[in-house]
This record gives sequence, C-alpha cells and structure tokens, in this order.
Amino acid sequence: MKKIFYPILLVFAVGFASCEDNLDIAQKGTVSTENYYATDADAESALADMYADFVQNVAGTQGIDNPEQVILNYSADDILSAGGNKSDHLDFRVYDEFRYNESNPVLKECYNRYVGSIYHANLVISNLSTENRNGKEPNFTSAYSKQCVEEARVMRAYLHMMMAAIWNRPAILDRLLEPDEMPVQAESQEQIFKWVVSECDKAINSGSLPKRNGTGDKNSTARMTVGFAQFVAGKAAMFANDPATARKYLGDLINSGNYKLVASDEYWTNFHVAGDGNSEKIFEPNFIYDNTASFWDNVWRSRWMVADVFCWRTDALASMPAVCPAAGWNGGAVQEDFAKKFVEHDGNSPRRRACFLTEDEFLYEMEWNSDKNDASLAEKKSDPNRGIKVSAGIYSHGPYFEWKHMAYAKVPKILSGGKDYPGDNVSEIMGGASTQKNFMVARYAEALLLYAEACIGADEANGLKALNEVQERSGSGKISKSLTFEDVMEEKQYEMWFENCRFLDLVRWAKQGKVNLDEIFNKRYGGIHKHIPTVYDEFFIEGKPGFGKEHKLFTDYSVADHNDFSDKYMYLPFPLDCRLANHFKNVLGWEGLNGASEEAAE
Amino acid sequence: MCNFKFVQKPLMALFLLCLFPLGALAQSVIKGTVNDEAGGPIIGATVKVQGSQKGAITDLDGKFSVEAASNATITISYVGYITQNIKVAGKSNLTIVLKEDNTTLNDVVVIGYGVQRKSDLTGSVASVKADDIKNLSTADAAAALQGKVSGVNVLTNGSPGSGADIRVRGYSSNSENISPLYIVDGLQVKSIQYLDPQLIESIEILKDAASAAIYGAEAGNGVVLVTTKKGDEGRVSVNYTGRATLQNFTRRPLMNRKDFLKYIAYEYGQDDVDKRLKDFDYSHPYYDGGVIDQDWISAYIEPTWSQQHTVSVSGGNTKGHFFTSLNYVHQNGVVKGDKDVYKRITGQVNADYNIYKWLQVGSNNSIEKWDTKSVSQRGYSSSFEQMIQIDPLTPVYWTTPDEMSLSVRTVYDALQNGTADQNYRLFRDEKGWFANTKYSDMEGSPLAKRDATDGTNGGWNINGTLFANLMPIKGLTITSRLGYRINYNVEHSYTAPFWIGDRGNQTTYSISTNTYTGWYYQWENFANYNITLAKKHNIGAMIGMSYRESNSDDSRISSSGADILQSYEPNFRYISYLKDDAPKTVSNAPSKSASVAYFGRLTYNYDSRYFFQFNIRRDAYDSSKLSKANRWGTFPSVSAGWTISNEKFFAEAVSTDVVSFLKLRASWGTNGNISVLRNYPYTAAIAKGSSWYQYNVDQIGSVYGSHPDKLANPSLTWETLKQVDLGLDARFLSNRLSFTAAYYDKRTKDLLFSVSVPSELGFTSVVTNGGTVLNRGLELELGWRDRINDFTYSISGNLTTIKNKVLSLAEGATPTYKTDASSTNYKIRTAFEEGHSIWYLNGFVYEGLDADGNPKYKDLNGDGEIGTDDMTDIGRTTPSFTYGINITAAWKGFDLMINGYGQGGNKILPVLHRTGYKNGLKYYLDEARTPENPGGSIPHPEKIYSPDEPFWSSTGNLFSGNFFRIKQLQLGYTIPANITKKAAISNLRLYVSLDDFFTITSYPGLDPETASTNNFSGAGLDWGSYPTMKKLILGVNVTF
Repeated sequence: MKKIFYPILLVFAVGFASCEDNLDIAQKGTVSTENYYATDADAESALADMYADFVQNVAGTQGIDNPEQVILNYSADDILSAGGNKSDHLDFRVYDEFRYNESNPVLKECYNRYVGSIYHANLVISNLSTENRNGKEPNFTSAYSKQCVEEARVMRAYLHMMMAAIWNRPAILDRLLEPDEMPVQAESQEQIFKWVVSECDKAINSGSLPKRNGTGDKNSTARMTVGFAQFVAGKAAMFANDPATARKYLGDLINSGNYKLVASDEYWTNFHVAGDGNSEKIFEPNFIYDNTASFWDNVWRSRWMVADVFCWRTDALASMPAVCPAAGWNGGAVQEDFAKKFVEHDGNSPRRRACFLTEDEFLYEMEWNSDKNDASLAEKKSDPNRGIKVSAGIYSHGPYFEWKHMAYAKVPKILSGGKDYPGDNVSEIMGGASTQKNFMVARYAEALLLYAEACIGADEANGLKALNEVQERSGSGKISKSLTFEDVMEEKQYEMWFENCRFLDLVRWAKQGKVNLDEIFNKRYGGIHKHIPTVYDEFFIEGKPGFGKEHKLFTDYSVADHNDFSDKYMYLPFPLDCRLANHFKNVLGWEGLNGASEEAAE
Repeated sequence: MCNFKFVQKPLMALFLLCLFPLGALAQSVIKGTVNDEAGGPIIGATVKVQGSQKGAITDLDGKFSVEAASNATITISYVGYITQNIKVAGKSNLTIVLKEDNTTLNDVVVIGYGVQRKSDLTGSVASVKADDIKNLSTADAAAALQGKVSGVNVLTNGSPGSGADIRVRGYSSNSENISPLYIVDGLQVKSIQYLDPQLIESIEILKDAASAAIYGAEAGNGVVLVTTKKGDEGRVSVNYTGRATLQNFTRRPLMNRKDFLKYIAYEYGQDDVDKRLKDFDYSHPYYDGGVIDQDWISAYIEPTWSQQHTVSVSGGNTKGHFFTSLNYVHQNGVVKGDKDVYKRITGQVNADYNIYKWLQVGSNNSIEKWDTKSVSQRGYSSSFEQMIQIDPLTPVYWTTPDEMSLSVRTVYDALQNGTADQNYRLFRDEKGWFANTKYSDMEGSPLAKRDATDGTNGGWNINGTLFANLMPIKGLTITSRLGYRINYNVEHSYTAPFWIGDRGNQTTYSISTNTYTGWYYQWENFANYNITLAKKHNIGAMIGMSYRESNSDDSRISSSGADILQSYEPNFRYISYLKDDAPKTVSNAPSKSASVAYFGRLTYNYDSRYFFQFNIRRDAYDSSKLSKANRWGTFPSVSAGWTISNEKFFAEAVSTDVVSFLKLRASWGTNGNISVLRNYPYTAAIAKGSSWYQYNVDQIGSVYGSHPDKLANPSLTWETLKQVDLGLDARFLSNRLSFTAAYYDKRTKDLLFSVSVPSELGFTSVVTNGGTVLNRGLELELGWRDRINDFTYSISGNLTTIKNKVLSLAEGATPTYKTDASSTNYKIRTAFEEGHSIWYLNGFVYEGLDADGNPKYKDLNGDGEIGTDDMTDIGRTTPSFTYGINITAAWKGFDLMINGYGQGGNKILPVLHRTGYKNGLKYYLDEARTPENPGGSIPHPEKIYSPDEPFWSSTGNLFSGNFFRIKQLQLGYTIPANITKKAAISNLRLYVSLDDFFTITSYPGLDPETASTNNFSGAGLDWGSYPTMKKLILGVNVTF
C-alpha cells in the first residue's frame, strides 16, 4: 500500500506546489513608473528633474563646448571661433565657415539635448495631467501639481521655439511618446511658433504659473514664470512674423513692472555671478555647487571646460592676467571689423568694456601678474610681463580681447571700479576647474528690443521708449529719435552680442526681406573669412621697432579654408541618424539619402 | 577560529589509519590461470578477493595464487577485457577466460533526468569516464576535459585557483555569458572547479540541442553533467592518491641587456642611450663583473612545489553504497613568495540505501573550504605587465640608499627625517630595497607591485542533494530530489601608503571587506517509465517539474583616506578598527531569483534499429529577468537514429569482424540562454534622487529630481539557440577501430543589443533582442585499441572545426567595438560585426616596408591617410579548430599515458610594447629591418617607437594562435601484488608525469594558450597573462 500511497502523495505535493507566485520579486531601491507621480513630493521631484536636465543638457557641457552656444554664436557674423590656429577648435570653426553637415556631432548633441529636455518636461505634463496618449487620468492632482504642469508647459514651449528657429520644422512633442510611437514632423515652422504662443498663453492664463514678485525677486528667475512665458510667446510671435501678438505679450511683460535694466556700470554683471537673479533676468537656470553631490555631478553641470574655452590662451601671453582662472583656449573672438564699429559706436561705454578690451585696456588698464600694475604708463609699456609673448601671435583676434563670457577668477577693476563682487569660479570644491556662472536664457533687454521691433509701424511711441531705455543704459551716448528697423537691428547687435540672438535674427529678417545674408556673410569686408586676423606684440617680435622696448600690437591676415554661405545654412539639417530613424525631411537644399535635395523650401 | 592548516595534515593521517583493515579470517590458497579467448595467457591481470584486502596480479604465464575462503568470490579485471566475478565454490584451481570488452557502446550515459545506453543515443553526448581523467595533475574537473572529447573547448589560466571555463561547440553570443550549464549529481552549480577529478565517475557533455533541450532556457551553450563516484558492491575499498608537482615557467622571450641596449639605441639613438647609461648605469655586486643584466622573469618567478592528496573509502552491498573522500590541494604559484596560492580541502560523502525494493534514498554532499591569493596579471600596470616591461639594466635590489632613484631617495630621506607626508612603505626584503627603473616612467618592480596590496579571498561551499527513488511498479521510477548550495565567501584587502616611484605610489590607506553569502535550492520531481512491448517496441517516458531559487545577501564596506585606522599594526587592519571619522562606503541588499520548469521526454525504439526521441521543456523565470507577460518559454526538440548494423540485410552482407556497429542519427532542437538577462532589464523604474536643482539663487541645498531610468522593453527575452546535429557512429574490425562523426549547425538568435531609438523618446537607445550568430562545424573522433600479447594500447584522436560568423545584428544595431587595451595607446579593437567571427580583431593591414624602410598599410578608404576607417578584420580571436590526441599503453605493470591538445585558426596580438626605455619581446629586435638585418620584415624600431603607430595594431604584429601541447606524458608502474600484499596493499602504482611540458607554437610571447581566448571581448590581445606552467609530477596511487 505504501508504495502506492507515497507516489500519490508526491504527485499531490507537486501538483499543489504553486511555484509561480515565487517568481514575482520586487525590484529594490526603485519605484515603478506606474506608481510614481502620486504626491506633491513626487511632482516636485519630477519638476526638479526637468530643471536639472535643462542645466545638465541644454545648458551643460558637451566635451569642451555647449552645443547651443557654439551653433548660434559661431554662425553669426560678429564672432570668430579663434583658437591656436586654423585647425584648432574645428568643431566650432565649421559653424564659422558654414561647412558642417548632418553628421556633425555638435549638431546631433544640440538636437538630442533639446528633445531630451522636452521629454523631461513631458514627464511632468503627461504624468500629472490628461495630456498623454490616451487621455489617461493622472495618479494625482493638486494645486501644486498644476503649477508643475504649467511650468513644464512653458519650458516645453521655449524648447520648441528654439528648435523651430534652428531646424525650421521639427516635431511638436506635445506629450510623452510611447516606445512604439514615432515623432511626427510639424507641418510648418509657423505651426510650431503658433503652438508655442498658444501653450504660453494657456500657462499664463492658468493662474497656476508663478509670477515674479517685483524686480528684487531673485528666486523666480530660476524657474518658469508668467514673465518668461510672456517673453517666449512674444519672441515666438516675432519669429512667426506676427508683431501684433508679440506686442501684446511683450507689452504685458514690460507693463508688469517686475523687470528693470540694471545700471549702466553694472551691465557686465548680467554675465557673471555678481548678477545672478538681478532685476534684468527673466530666466536663467540656477547653478550653485551642491557639496553633497559627487565631484563629477558638479562638473557636468558646471560647463567646466566651456569656461576654459572662453578664457584667453594664457600660454601665449607674457604673464597670467589676474582675471583668468586658468590657462584657456581662446575659444571666442570678436570679429575685428565689428569690434571697430562697436568701439566707434559705443566708445568707452560700460557695455563695450564688458564685452571686449581694446589694445590699451588689454595692455595697460588690466592687471597682469606683474609688479608694474600700479606703475606709470611708460613703465608698463616696457614691462616684459604683459602683452602677447608668442611669435606666432594670437589667431583670429585683431587687437580686441573678448571677455564677456570669461569666468572671472577675480572681477577686474576695470569693470568693478574697485567695488567688491564675487568671482565666477569661487567654488567650494573645485578651484579653477569650474564655474558657478548661471546659463542665461532671457533678459529684459532682449524683451525691450523685441518689443521695439514689434512696434515699428504700429506703436512708434512705446517702441521708441523701449529702444531708448536700452540705449540710455548702454552708456554709448546714442539715443534714437525715431523708431527704425536699422536702429533696432544695430542696437540689438551691440546689446545682445554673443548671446545666441544674432544668427537667428538674421535668418528671420532675411526671410522677411529685411537683410541680405549673401551680402552679410559673403560680401561684406570682402567676405568675413577672407581676412582672418592674427595679432602680435612688437615687444616680443624680433626685428620689429618695438622689440624689447615698447608694447605695440599689430595684425596680419590670412584666409580661411572656407567662406561660402548659401541659403541652406539658414536652417540646420536634422542629425543624420535622427533623420534616418524619424524619416524627417530637411528644408532648403540639404541632401537626402539618395543625394536628391529634399523640399526646396518650407 | 582554529587554524585549519595546523590540523589538516594530522587529521588526514588519522583518517588514513582508521581505515586500515584490522585483520582477516583464516583462508586457503586458490590458484588459477587467466587466458584470453584465443587461449593465450593474460599477464598482469588484477585478481581481487571480494570482501577482503587480498589480491594478486597474474604472472608471465597468466597464473596467480591468492588466499581466499572456499565460498569467496574473486574478481578478475584487465584493461580492455570484461571484468569477471567467479565464485570459488570450493575449487582450488581455476581457469578463467576473459572476454574482450567490445561493449563500450552499451555503457550507460547520463542524460538529463535519466540515463540511456550509449548505443541508443540519438544526439551528440560526449562522455568521459573516471579512467580517462584520474591521474591528471589538475585539481579542476573542467580543466580535465581538455583535449578529451570533440566539440568541447577548455579555457584556462595559469594562475593558481583560477577555474577553467568551457565552451561547447563554439562561441555563441556577443555577451560574455556563454558558459555551459553545469549539473553535478542533479544539482545545478556555477562551476565545477571544486570537484577534484579523483571524485568523478563520469562527465557527460550534452552538445546538441536535442540532448540539452531538457534543460531548456539555460542549456543553449551545452550542458556538462558530472556524476560523482559511488561505492561498488561487495567490498570496501580504501584508496589514497598523492602527488607532488614541481612547476616552472615555460618560456623566456624577453630581451637581455645586450639586446635591449641595441633596441633602444635603434629607437632613440646611440647618443641618448650613452647619455642615460652615463647618468644611471652603475656597477652592482650581485651581477657578473658588476654589469647589470637582469632577467626579470628569473627575478619574479621561481620553481615551486604543489601537493595534492586524496583519500577515499567506498563500498556497498545489495542494500546500499557509500563513497567518502577527503581531498586536499595546495598550489603555490610560480611568483616568488606566497602571494599566489590556492588551497582547497573538499570532503565528499555519497550514500544510497534501498529501504524497500521499491524505495531507495540517498544523498550526495560536498563541503569545500578554499582560499586564494593572487597577483595582478593581464592588464595595465599589472605585476606581469611590469615583469615584461621593466628594463634589464635595472637591478632587482638597491643595496644602499645611494643607488635609489631620485623619486624614491627623496621619499626615503623624508622618512628618515620625519618630514614625509605619509608613512610610506618602500618595499624590500632581506637583500635590499626592490629597485625601480631610472630609465623610464614604469610604475615599478613587479616584486613591489606584488607586495603593494595584502588581499585574501576564501570561503566555504556546501553542495548537496537528497533524493528518493520510488519504484512502485516495474519500469516506473519516480524521483524526488532536493538540491542545495550554500556559499560563503569573504574578501579582505588592505593597502598602506607606499612609494615605488612617481607613477607607482599610493598616498592613502585603503581597506575593504566584502562578504558574499548565497544559498540556493532546487526541488525536482520526475518520473521515468520504461516498457518493452512485443519484445521489439521499447518505449520510455519521462515527465517532471523543477523549482529553483537562488538567494544572495552580500555586504561590502570600504574606506580610504590619509588616516583611517586606530592603529596600523597587523592586528588592527580590519574594518572594526576604523576611526569614527574615516569615510566609509557601504552597501548591502539581498537579492533573489527563481524559476519554474515543467519538462518531459518520450523515447521509442523499434528492435534497437529505429530510435526516436522527443523532449520538451517549459521554463519560467522571475521578474528580475523577464516581464510577467513574457516569462514563459517552450523548448522542444526531436531526434532520431538508425542502427544500420542491426538490420538483417546488413548483418547478412557485412561481417561484424569488418563493421561491428554502424548508426546514423539526426537531431533538431531549441534552447535558451537566460544568463544574459539580469537586474530587471525590461522595465523602466524611477531612479530616485538621480538629479538635483536649486530653486533659490542664494541658497545652498537642493531639491532632488527623479525620472525613469531607461526605456522599457517588456518584450525583452533570452537568447534562443537552434541547432541541427547529424551524426554517424561506427566501429570496425571487431570493435578495435571506432569512428564518430558529427555535423552541427548552431544558430543563436535574439542576442541583446543596445539599439538607437529616436531621441524624442527621451533616451537614445534601448536594449532589444535580435541578430544571429552561427557556429557550424564537424566533430570527428577516431580510436584504435588492441593488444599484442601482454602489450595493450589505445590511440584516439578528436578534431573539431568551428566556423563562427555573425550572420546579422539586431534591426537598427551598428557594429560594436571594444578597446580593451586602449590605455596602452594601441589602436587595436575587437569588434562584433555582421559577416565576421565574433569579437574579431579590427586592425590595420601591414603591407611591409617601402624602399626607404617606411611601413606601408592598406589604405582601405583611399583617402591617402591611415586612420580608423582603414581598420578591418585581421583575424579571429576564437579558434577555428581544436584537436586532442590520447595514447595509452600498458605492459607488465608499466603504463604510459600521453594526452595532447591543440588548437588553431585564432590570432594573437600582443599589446605589450610601450614608449620609452621598456623591455619587450626579443622578436621585435630579431625581425626589425636594420642595417645589421636588412632582410627584417618589421619596421626599424625608430619608426614605430610609439604604441599608437598603426604597426602595433596591424597584421605586422599579429601572430598565429596555433599551438599543440602535450598536456600529459605519464609513465606509471604498478608494483606486483605479490610484493605489495605483504603490506596489505592490493594495488600500488607509482608514476611520474610531465604535464604541459612540451609545446609546439610559433607565438613569440609567454603562452599562446592563456594569452588569447580566456577573455570576453578582449580575446586575442596578449596583455601579460599568467602563462600555463610546465609541471613535473611524482605521484602514487594506493588501494587497500
């Protein structure tokens, strides 16, 4: 009996042993995506993630550059990529010289960073509202979660505006994509800009979006506010050639009284730690060292090597200027002819001095690592510890020295007037390896100039008032008597030089028939790349009259390898693998897979 | 804790003594003659009396005499003949005729959840028996398989305690998880390194998918089934095996002083060499004539002895069997000192008992205690790399501080003056300080590298099974088997600040302790039913289930800093004595994984002529590997065989003396490789606190951000392997000649790839399944065995060919490149790319030298420059063929065993050349085209001094990985029983063996075997691996 009983028992034991439940093993140290986004704390964390992603990616370092800064500034007609020689900083130079293509890594990074940041904004929106694929109800809503959604909405709108301006018609990513979903290209650039305006409008009117509480409210500049939404809506409307709409939002921004230009002699603080959250800032993601975060976490957020790029190539100099935090690579040079024009226009204005130094300022007014800083001019002229030491000179530079974006080790007296301000790389953990400078996205001066432009031919008085406000603050002495496009365009080039505006404005104006890009890039000065300056110091060049006696800068010229702007460079091509994956179409003559040109125009 | 080292030897002796027989009953003398079937005497046959220690060996006339009771049973055995048991039954003179053993095909082989006669197999199962591996010098069961069977490639490393790994029928995946499934007595284990070959009854390797399919999702890379010994019925046998091994380095391929001076003069000019010699070369008392000409291999390596002892006791009767064994291994590697050591003691207890005729219970258990210490090898700044690269101008010792390099002298002086910023150790022994080179920026002496860190690693493994076999009706066996493993392992590491040189130093203390605890159990229930209907229909069925669960709970703690311990005396070098403010890194989280499977098998054969088999397994894995919706998989297989020689028409037409056996077989099946999936790869979870942001401009302190950690892919699944196997088994000339051929075609699909996705999805890539890898080849085994009077011998050989090719990548995937040796500045990469063998070497094609002696390379993209785009497939990293040769011979108590293993088709690229005054392979001097050697094939050293020159990563620096090695050459002598029986010893065999002594290769580096394939994506790159040692072994086998 037993020999029958035991097998039966065994069969039952096996049959009833339901093992499959044991296969459900919870993952440790994580929360499932489905169960998250369920409290105010989760919402706050998702929003912090959105800003953190923006800091790390759109505003962060890729190798030695920030992709957005490289593309938008080096493509402009008033900046050269500089560097040690013409093969240095090739990643920058291809934008100077319009010889990039869809395989360019900076272009790909820039694209991926924008769409990545949009994804992080969409994590907030799609998980905390019904704006997702199936209109699914969120796990949780509250007044705070609504605020988070509206902040994310404005962030997303801003990013779309930038992408539309750069790529003409990327996709409108208005919710999280599912893994099996492909992005769909927008119908037109205008469609995107109009969508941006409507999104900003929705956020402004939601009542949930934070507002700046007066010009002294610093903290609101570190997040999305009604003011920034108005700025984005106004700028997007200008890009959609809809000045009436632009006037509305920018007018509201101006009339809010929450923003004000800083004083003329503090113009420079806009680009340095001293000006963090000042009255002029509309949005700049905040960056402060977090000592609890890892060394590298801090590094990747802090545009460490971007700071090196924007510092002078001090190994070419006779000694270390006091302003320089470290030996740099001379990454950005003010285009010589523009610099001359700027000096003629602004003279010794605080605005011009905040942007670049002239020969005398560089050699004698600035502090060098020399015991002659307090000596007479004559002694400084023969001081071997200042000037350009290398016989090869400094490539791409005329006798003008950009420092608008340099991370100051010590704020130069020439700007501070001896007042105490914090330096840009005064960090608690990394010394000169990094910078605490914020990444400025929008300031009031740009809003005023956009508004002035929007008022041309419509509201002359208010437009002129806005233009004059910028002119008065600049210290240049020029005050326009009437509102003309030329005056607005010129003022904007000086005021917003090296601030991501110029190239996109030129393209926008060219589309509206207001400027001729061929003239600007290919013909003016005989083509800006037909005479690349290199600046030398006679003091260090044997055979020169000043050799060993007196500093005197001189310039000679060389020709860049490329200098042909054509209309296709008005918009960037989509990155190659993105185009292949998404089947997006480029505009304006970028070649497709089979060599055939895709869509002749939008 | 008690110091085991002190007690283990006395324990062993005690154990041995206990097992000596206490005496014997009065006996009478039985005489006899042993003949073969032809009537000739069999000389040297073993005669044993069951149940006693008595025994004898037949003499030149085949005669023997032995004391035995009149009702005793005696056993007569001889190699190549069927063992016979003869009842004495009162006779005093016996004539015994031994029949030749032609029945190897009727051996039973172990297959999953059952056994099968070898002649009934329809798949490719390689079987290795105890006799084939019993006297090997290795202590690792996996290593014992090398060269023994076709289709099995064994990867080894020379370092003591580094376990061998196995590849069955090629290299199947872009992942490194391509080891076979290891099963010991039904228990799944991670490795079989713990098993001494002495303990093993048989090893079966299930090579084809049909055979392995019963193990489903884990059997894609083959299954290695190990059966440990159990006692034989009728007698208690006590066996001791001991061996002492003297091991030494095989090759010395580096430059000496003269060669080296010539080479660097070529590289950097005679002026530079003269200047440096003037600056740094000095007379040293330890060298001939004071001229330093240091052979750094001799400085770092010395011959060492290792020992291994096994005592086993086994026995049994009709009720049950037992086998117990104690095995002790102590290997001290060839690096000077005791820094590379492997110690292991393993106890094995196997027993079974028949409670009723229908109920058998049993248990197999092993307890292992192991300890290893190892030196760094194969890699940047490893001690072996330093040994190869340090120049021969540097002495081993500085005997006075005046001889020290400036860097070390500065630290030495600071230490003397008490002004050093740390309590740096300057490594030394009684002869002096370990010298570092003054000629280059080497990290330093390999001896100092050896001593820089004190580390130990050791633990316990307890493995076992408990089983019950129920046999309620004839033909039906129901088995319930519980298997378990308990693993415990602790690693300690301690490094104090030291100074070897400017590049080789540590300014802080560091200490770490890692504790690994694991326990695993499996419960398997299965029933086998066999029935024969109408005498010709043989039907077998098996059905079963398995549940497996694995748990681990690991803890790690480490600290490093300028001052971390309360004291630095040896008894304070533990985590417990960290200062309160020492920075600590700690981690602990238990983990668990589980799986469930149901499986079944149906076998049918008609009249032993037509064979058919069907297997199926359904596997499910836990949520750490697969999504719930996707956790189940089904793995079917079919196979069939036709034994032509059993057909009447064949038997009538062909004599069995000519063709004794002939069978064709074919199989198809599908398996999986689950080991590529771990840690919830299919799901996206929220990575909490992975980013941070400050909302307030003037405030320090952050809000933490959280977001999904990756793009989910719920459909992610295991790798699937499909295999077709065709085979032929034949025996000719009265079974003397055997031949087996098999063709296999194994395709791995659904490999894991990271594939780019539109970045609009929030991530730039997702892990997905796809692609196909092909392994295809032939396996041939040919054996001959015969006897000429009292001389018996056998010769067998096997050959495996492996065509390996990546047929496709996953949709959207691009070739993967790995630059394992990037820190050497070599440009060489390994690549996983469609149309090539897996992880092939991607380098430049060297086209010799032009008239000016400049190297030429193939400009593949025609751009006039040599760059990354000109790198191409320059060779396989895995062998395209492997082969083994096994020879045995016996004559009058003498026996000879020769085992050889070879492989080829793979390439090796050494990545050992460096810029500066560093040593390297003498080959580069001998082959350089110089004024003295105008016919040299490689560039003048001056032209390629930098390792980033394409030459070093080109076919110019590429070598054949082909080698043939005599793994074992063993000569034994069994002392005649009539002598040994006086000491109550039934069998005493002494032997001497030369293992890994002879190698045929053209490779100029240390060792072609360990240099190449024992690595994943860095295979083919020789970066200074611990080579295979050559060994002289003295051994003894005693049976009481």
